[in-house]
Order: sequence, then structure tokens, then C-alpha cells
Amino acid sequence: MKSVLFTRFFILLPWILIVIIMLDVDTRKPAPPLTPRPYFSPYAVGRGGARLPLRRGGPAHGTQKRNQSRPQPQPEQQLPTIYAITPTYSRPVQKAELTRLANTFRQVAQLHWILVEDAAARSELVSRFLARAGLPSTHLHVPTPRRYKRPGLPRATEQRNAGLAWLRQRHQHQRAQPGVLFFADDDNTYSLELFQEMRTTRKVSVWPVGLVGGRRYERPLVENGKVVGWYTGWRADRPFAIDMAGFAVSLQVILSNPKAVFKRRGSQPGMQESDFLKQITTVEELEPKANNCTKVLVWHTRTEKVNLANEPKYRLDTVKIEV
Amino acid sequence: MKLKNVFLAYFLVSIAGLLYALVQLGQPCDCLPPLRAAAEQLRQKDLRISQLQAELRRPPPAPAQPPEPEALPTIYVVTPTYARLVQKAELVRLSQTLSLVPRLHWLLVEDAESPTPLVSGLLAASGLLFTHLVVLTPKAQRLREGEPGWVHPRGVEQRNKALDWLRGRGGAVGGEKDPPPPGTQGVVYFADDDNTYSRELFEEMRWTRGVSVWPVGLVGGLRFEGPQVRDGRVVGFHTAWEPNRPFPVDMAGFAVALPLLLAKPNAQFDSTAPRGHLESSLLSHLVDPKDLEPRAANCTRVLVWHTRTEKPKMKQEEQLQRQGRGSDPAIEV
Repeated sequence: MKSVLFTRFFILLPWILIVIIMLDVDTRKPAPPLTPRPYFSPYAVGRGGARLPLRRGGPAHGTQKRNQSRPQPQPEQQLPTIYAITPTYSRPVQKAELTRLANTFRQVAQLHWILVEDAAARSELVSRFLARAGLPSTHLHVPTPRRYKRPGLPRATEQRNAGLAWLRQRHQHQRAQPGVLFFADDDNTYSLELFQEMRTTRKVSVWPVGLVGGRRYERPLVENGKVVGWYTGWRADRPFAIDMAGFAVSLQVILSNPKAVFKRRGSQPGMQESDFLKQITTVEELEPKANNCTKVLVWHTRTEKVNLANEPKYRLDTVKIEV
Repeated sequence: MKLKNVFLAYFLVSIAGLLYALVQLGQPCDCLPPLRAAAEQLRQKDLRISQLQAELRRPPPAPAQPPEPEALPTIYVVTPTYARLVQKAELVRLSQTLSLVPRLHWLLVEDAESPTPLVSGLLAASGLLFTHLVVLTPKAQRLREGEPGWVHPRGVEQRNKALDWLRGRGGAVGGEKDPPPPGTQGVVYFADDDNTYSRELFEEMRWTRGVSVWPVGLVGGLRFEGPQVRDGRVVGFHTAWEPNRPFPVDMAGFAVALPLLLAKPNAQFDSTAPRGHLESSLLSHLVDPKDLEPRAANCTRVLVWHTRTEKPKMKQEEQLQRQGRGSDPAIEV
């Protein structure tokens, strides 16, 4: 008798399991959609901001000026656009750094700011900030894999590559307009003259950078209008011994070298710039700017880490204030 | 029942069930409509967000009657500065921010014996309305190499020199030499050269009648320090460091109306004030804490940050100097 019961039980068991599974599948919530969502891909684009009337390298409209004759501003269409790729990441001084960078960039005509966050999604802080920043911008995001976040490894590689990819994607179907691209880290300091210098880049231009490499400045050595060497404090044997802030590339060169990206594999610390520039140009082709590389127009400033020792462990305040 | 039959039945039932289940998985389940609806909703929301962002970016409609430039009170920004490697960089980016503000007069005071070409050149090229002053900090008050920043208060003589100039006691070595005429509507703000200022901050302070205050980010060991406001009045201060100061605000967290400063000709910073009490040494001459005017949306927005710049490492430079191959001093950094 018992064996009959057992056998019947075992016969019915798979049926019961199947019924349970089907009931479970029917009531389960829908899975994430299978189609790619264009709004959340790494190359999602924020609308470029409306062009506010920009001053051409001068003070604010309405500031009293003495003996200043403003030259006739060039029609904006003819100026090559400067694309500034800025990787950024979340930390207490992020908003402050972006604020002062935006204050600088607002005063440069025809500048398009490409801000790439090291994040899995667009953060509210940066989105809100860009909406009020008052200059044409693009908001991208791509997270850096955890294993690349160790000290000594090159940083912001994925973010800069995302900026490059966006530029290439945007211009793939259009005739390339003149444009210049440079990599603007969010803690450096840029003078307005620098942008005038880089705008005339035909291929790749270089200039001195202040307060970098353990020296007052680093610069390319120039003879007869050509770069012949490098005045640098660190590993002068690099093919391009220059900081990220010390060069700009014309849009044409970027588009005609679609495979040129910042590499992770096989790159040593400090070789990022060299590895990138090696793919697109040679030392002979470099165009020296800033008065044959004798003027410092950009400084590799770094901001101190903020002391938050007095911040309570759990939020005690009644309002949530963004800093 | 024979065991063989049991197993056979078992096997056939399992196969049948498995096939049924596989067929079910292949078909689109009817959970798709809610899925599509959710995706559609998300898409709509994202579109709306992009629309709102575009709207925000559009310049605001010009006010029907823009105030005449002469009617705007002038903001006098007092910045003490001293020579160090990052000085030019700091002043460059500060001047870039100040260029965005209309009706602004920059009072740059150097801690030096005489005006330096670096600062003079920078001021001339900035396109701003400025006054260039110099005063050397007395040796006893000066920080020695390696001393932490808080041992002596810094910038005291320089800020007081700017106050003297505003009061008509002269001393300008460059730029606009004449002090503001009596009756000028204006506001005075003490802006250190390494902080970060947003444009909106200056519009918040412009219409100060007495002393206005707002939160400052990244200072005092906190995300931000600032006044606590109820019913439009300052009732306390959100601060963790030395909360017993009469005015626990940072130098960047307040502005004083020019007429008030001129009405109290002896109000100035006290260089002997204990650590952190420098701001209080001036403000206690001018106003009571309860009369402070809160700004920045009742002190809920952070529009200025107490950033500090790292001292750049000069190991290589020092090495080269020892070898007599230092960098060209003619190249200004």
C-alpha cells in the first residue's frame, strides 16, 4: 500500500512543480526591458544650452571700463569651436571647482563644455549645476571600474574616452567644422589668453604648464618655431613629456584618427599623454603656442582635501543643503 | 504497479511538463503591456526633465525696466594677497569670476613693501575697475616658514588698509585713486584669493543695508557653516568650531554696507584677536547678531566655498636650483 502511495506521489511531483513554477512566472513583476534605452546609455546627451550673450574675452556687460576700445567682435559662426572635455567625480569640493571653472569658460566665445561624470548615472548636483551654468554644455557619465581606482593608476581614462566618443559620434555625419579639443581638469586654472592661443590649432599645439612636475613650470623647448625637446622635471625620456593641460588637438585630427583613445592596458603612470599623442601626431608636427612656449597661461593647481572632521555621523540638520 | 512503469510514467510526465514550460517561456508573456507602459512613462519623464533643463538654460526674459547701471550699488571687493607660487593662478581665476559681476570695484591689497609687477600687470590686463594698495605685515605678525596658518591672523593689515582707503585716508598705488564720494551706495565684501565664489553671491549681497550673512561651504570642519534663520531673522549659527564666538561666521560669509562702515570710522580688524575671532573683532563694532540680514534664500543655499589650494611640490625646482640650472625667472608663473 505504502509503495503505491509513494509511486503516485512521485508521479504527481513534477506536475505540481510545474504548476508552481508557472504560477510564479505569471505573477512575477516584469523584467527590465530588453531594448536599449537611449536616455541612459553612456553617450546620452543633454541639450546644449542656449547661447547667452557672451563677452569676447572682456569683463561683464555694464562694468565701468576706462579707456577700453572693444574690438569689433568676430561673427560667432566663423570662430572655431573649442571643446573642453572635463572629467569630474563626486567629492565635497566638486561643486566649487565646477563653479569657478564655469565662471572662466563663460567668458570664452564658442566654447562647448563636455562634462563627463565618473558615475553610473547623471547626478542631480551636476545636472542642476549645468542647467544654470549659462554656457553650451554636454553632460555625459561613465563609471570607472573599481579595479582601476587604485593609486598609481591613470585616472579619468574612461571619462576622457567617453568625451572623445561623443565628439566622434556627433560629427560622423557632418562635414567637420573647424574645432579644437582640449582636456580641462576641473581643478586647474586657465587664463583667457590660453583659449585665444589654442583656437588657431591646425593639428596639435602645445604650451607651457605652470606648477607641475615639481617645478615652477614645464614647457616644450622651441627652436625656429619647432619643438625640439622638453623642459620637464619628470621622466624627460617620454616621447611627449607634457601634462594633460599642455596641449590641444584640432577636431580634424581626432576625426581622422577614430581609434585614438586613452589606453589602460600596458600604460604606465604618467604615460597617458604620450600614449595618446603618439597615436595622432609626431613631435615635428607640434605647433608651439604662447609666444614660442615662453608664457605660462595655465596652472596645474590642486585643491586641498576638505576637512570635514566636525560633520556629525548622521545628518542632524532639518534641511538638506547642497554644497 | 511495476517499478518500470512508474519510472516510465515519471519520465514522460517530466518531459511533457518541461516542453510545456519551454513553450511558455518562448512566447511573449502578457506582462508586456505594463512593461511598455512603465518604459513609456520613464521616457516621458526624461523628456520632461530635458525640456525643463532647456528652459532653465534659456536666458531669463529681460526685465521690463532694467535698472540703470548708476542705480546699482557698487560692490567693493577687498582681497588681501601675498606672493607665493600659486598667487598668479589664484588671482587669475578670481578676476575671471569678478568679471562676471557688474558694478564691482576690486580693492587688491598686497602684503609687500611696494607693488609687484606681477600684480600690477594682472590688474591692468583684467579689465576690471580696481584699486591697488600695498602694506607690509609687520615682522612680529608674519608667519615663519613651516608655521601653520592659524598661528597669526593673516591679511589683517591689508584689509584695514582697504578700509582706510574707503574712508578717504588715501594710500592707493595703482588704479582708481579717489575713494568713493560721500553718500555712495555700496557694500564691502572681504574675498580671500583662494575661495570660490558664484555669480549669484554678489547679487545677494548687493542690497545690504547693514550687515548681511549667508552660509559658507567647506569651512570649520563642516560641509557648510551658516546662520540659522527663523521668520527672516538670524536666531543662531550652525557651526561646530568655537561656537561661542560672538559672530561665528567666516570672512567670506558676510558683507557690510558702505555707509555703515563710514559711519563707524574706528571699526576695523584687530590683529590681536584670538584665533577665529577676527571676523567678530570687526562685526562687534558694527552690528548686533540679531540685526544681521540673512541672504541666500534664508541661508539655505551655499554660494561661496572656502576652498584652499595645495602648496605645489617644488622638489625638482629646488634640485635644479642647487645645480644652478633653475627655471628662467623671466618666465612669470
